[in-house]
Amino acid sequence: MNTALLRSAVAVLLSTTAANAQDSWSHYDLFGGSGMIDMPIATSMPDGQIGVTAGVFGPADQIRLSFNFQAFDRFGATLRYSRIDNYFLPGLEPILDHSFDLHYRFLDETDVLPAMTIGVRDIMGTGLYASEYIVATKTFGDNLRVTGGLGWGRMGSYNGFDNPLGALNPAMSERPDRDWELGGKLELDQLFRGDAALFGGLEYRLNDTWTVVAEYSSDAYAREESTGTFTHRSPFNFGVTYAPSDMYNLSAYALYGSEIGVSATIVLDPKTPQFPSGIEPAPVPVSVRPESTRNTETWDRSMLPDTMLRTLMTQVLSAEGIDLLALEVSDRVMRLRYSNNRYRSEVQAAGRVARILTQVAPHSIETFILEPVFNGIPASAIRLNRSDIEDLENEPGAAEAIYDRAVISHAGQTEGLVETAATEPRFTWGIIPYVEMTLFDGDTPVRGDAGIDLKAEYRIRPNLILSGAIRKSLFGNAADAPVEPPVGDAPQVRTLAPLYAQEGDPALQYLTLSYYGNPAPNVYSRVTAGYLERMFGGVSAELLWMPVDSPLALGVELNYAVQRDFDLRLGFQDYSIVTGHLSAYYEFENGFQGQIDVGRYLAGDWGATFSLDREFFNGWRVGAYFTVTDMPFEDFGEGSFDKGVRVTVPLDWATGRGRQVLGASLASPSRDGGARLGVQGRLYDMLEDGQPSRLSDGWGRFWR
Amino acid sequence: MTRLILTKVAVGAVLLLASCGPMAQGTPLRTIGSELRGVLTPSEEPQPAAAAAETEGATAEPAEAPAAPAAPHAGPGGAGSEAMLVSLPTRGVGARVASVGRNQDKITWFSPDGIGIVTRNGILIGTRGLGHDLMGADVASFDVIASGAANQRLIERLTGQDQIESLIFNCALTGQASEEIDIAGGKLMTTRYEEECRSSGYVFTNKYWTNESGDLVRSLQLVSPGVGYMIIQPI
Repeated sequence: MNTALLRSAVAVLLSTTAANAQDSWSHYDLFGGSGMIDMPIATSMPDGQIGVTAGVFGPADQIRLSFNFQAFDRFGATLRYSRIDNYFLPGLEPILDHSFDLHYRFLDETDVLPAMTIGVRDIMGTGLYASEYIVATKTFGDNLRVTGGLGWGRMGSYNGFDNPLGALNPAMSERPDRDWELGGKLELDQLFRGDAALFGGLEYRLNDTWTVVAEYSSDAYAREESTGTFTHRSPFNFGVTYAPSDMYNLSAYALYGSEIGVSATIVLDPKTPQFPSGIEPAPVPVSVRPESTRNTETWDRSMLPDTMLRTLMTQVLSAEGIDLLALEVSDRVMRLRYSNNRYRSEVQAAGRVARILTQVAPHSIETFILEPVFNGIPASAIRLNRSDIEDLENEPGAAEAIYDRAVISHAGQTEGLVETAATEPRFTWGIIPYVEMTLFDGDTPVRGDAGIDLKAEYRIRPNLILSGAIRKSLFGNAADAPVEPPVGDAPQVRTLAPLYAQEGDPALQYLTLSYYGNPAPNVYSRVTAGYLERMFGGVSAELLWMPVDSPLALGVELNYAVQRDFDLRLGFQDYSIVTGHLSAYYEFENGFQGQIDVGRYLAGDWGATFSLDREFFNGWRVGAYFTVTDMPFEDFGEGSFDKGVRVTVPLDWATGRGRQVLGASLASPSRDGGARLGVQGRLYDMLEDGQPSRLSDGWGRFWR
Repeated sequence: MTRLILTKVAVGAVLLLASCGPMAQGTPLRTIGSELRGVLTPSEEPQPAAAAAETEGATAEPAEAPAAPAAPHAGPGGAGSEAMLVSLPTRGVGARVASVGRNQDKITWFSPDGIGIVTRNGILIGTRGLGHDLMGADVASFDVIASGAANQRLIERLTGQDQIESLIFNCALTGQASEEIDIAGGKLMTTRYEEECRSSGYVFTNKYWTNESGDLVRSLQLVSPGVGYMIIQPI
């Protein structure tokens, strides 16, 4: 190769502006939020960003593992697990604690004004870190950030003074003790009460990878000092952060004149996949009909009989990972039902189907109607003009233009469709490794289990599926967990998990026969029978009303569930229960999806689950949920009620291809209250990717 | 990023043994495993330039030929050629691509590993499969570029949220000179054109070499900020 050419080609073509560099200047502190070291700053993390931070300092021996999510541009939340040695008294077991923070930026930084944020740290439960703050941060030039703030609670404990809010209401001057009982509940009566104190600091960026921090902390660590394991010599903390990439950073700290700390953060940005356009092979080019044949009224069936056309199309589409399930062909219109087994994006799959149709469909066919199908059930219909596909391929603005000309509505009648060979029974299987981990279950920091699942599925009809999985644990300590005795009168359900882990290996994870239906327009149904999940078998029936043009969907589910034997073979125990829920799903304009389920849970308790998830167009989901039931908090036990945070990561975000997703949840340990049956294939999750609003959100992938 | 993925590959290589069967297709370990090959495919670890930059020996047919390839064409996609040599200097990879489809004056080319490239009269207007693809482009013809007239260029890319994003550049000819280049085993006297395109955040320079009759014999054109340049040489 011509060396001059190579040199010029390699020359960097991006001249990133200073403004861009500044945007990426985010720093996770020892509490895992946006801050300096122990003190927060007002600058928010970029919208949607997730930071997972592990921090430790000693000799006081505190460990903090935090999960931070910038849920909106202005609002974020942090969930934290911490381990504090000698919190109560020297020599006692260390305390393992959960804490939860919220922070809201109410003022944006301008040339003159600083950014300002109000926040609450450790708002639930024990309140070991309970503090509130208002903080201001101003950036000077590209590399200096100055922060000052006012803190209450722990953040008001060093050089504190009378609460200025006491002038408004004398009651604010006193901070009541927190009575956390079993933990896990919102604790609001302390907020912004008691002494306040000032904190502040400087961050200076030496270059793209190194930043130094100096902070004045208003946390006196009084409790830790009183047990004699922490020495507060100075309010000044110093740190250095090394951030060699956008993906992670490492920090080291000198704290309070007596402690040394380190932390590491992994940064995940759901909005920035490794390969935004994917790395699947190119789609086939559009075949353009000669102008003269575009208006042909019919096609010669003696040359290409319907059966041959169906066979040809089944084969060609299957090369794209698409099962053609049914086909209706007239002189001018072709309607297909297909299921996409390869692409995360249903829009991308639809685009590929359309391209293939231009290659194989007889020239007189001008209209393509594509009906994506999920477990045999069509979710919508995309109507495209073949001429538009021919005219727009590889033109600028093609994605928007084809969207404007497409008509997306609900799927058509089954009448007229002829099934293809792809609907014949088919068997598939796989051996897939699994990892399961529970943090801070009881007094063990990490409980986990890893092994393999042997999964198999027999699709008798596209909508009638027999599926099962056998799990073999290879290593882990899940079986070592102690079985807690029952509390109160409620039957034990999820707290029996250790018995299943001890006796049920290998385990029949599930073995079910599922039937999906579409009994009326916009109405979908499911019946699942068999071994529904690890702890329960029985029958589950569900009905969902999900209009294509409405953000609201309503569902009802009814289950008869029998507790399975601990050996996880075929036997059952005596306990059985009828459970069920009424569910409402609502898709908000801004990418948030809310869900409320009201009904009866596995232990016979009645209540409701509230969930809110942020759904990114690329398939990421980050959400939180909680369940309150009529089971008394003291019967529920630690945490008072069930709640958690969950994350779903589409695999193609990391690898550029594939439609698998990875799920993870950070939940309080599963207990007996608010336990919902873990049946697979619930209708809303199954169908939502095919809904018109989803197709519209991800339409940019049509030509990909 | 790179290091993270490589770690996954190392872990994946061990566990791949445990992951098999049709249902395991597309699981993380499988997928990462299948990325350990590729001609133009984005690779976590760029291959040495020498190994893949010149692939004149490569004769493999496109891996995924369309069901009914369009008829052979003669056109200025590269002076009537039906194949081109392309390479991505920043990735140190290259391939021979064959024409597989034609829509008006737009030609689609495939590499053996399934990367798609679209040109219009020799100007790159699309790619598929490179991870940061050029999804579409509105570009002046080479005649306009060579005439020295200032022109605007629009390139489209996919955001991480599946939206089409347009970048607009102002382009102008910044250089024109004679140059002897090595091509197809011989020397060729050419005219080299340099075109600089600027937007608020980016600047890039495309280069075009023409022979005596004014046909493009080689070019260096931006694919996207994420991919960098592509060298295109009709054969």
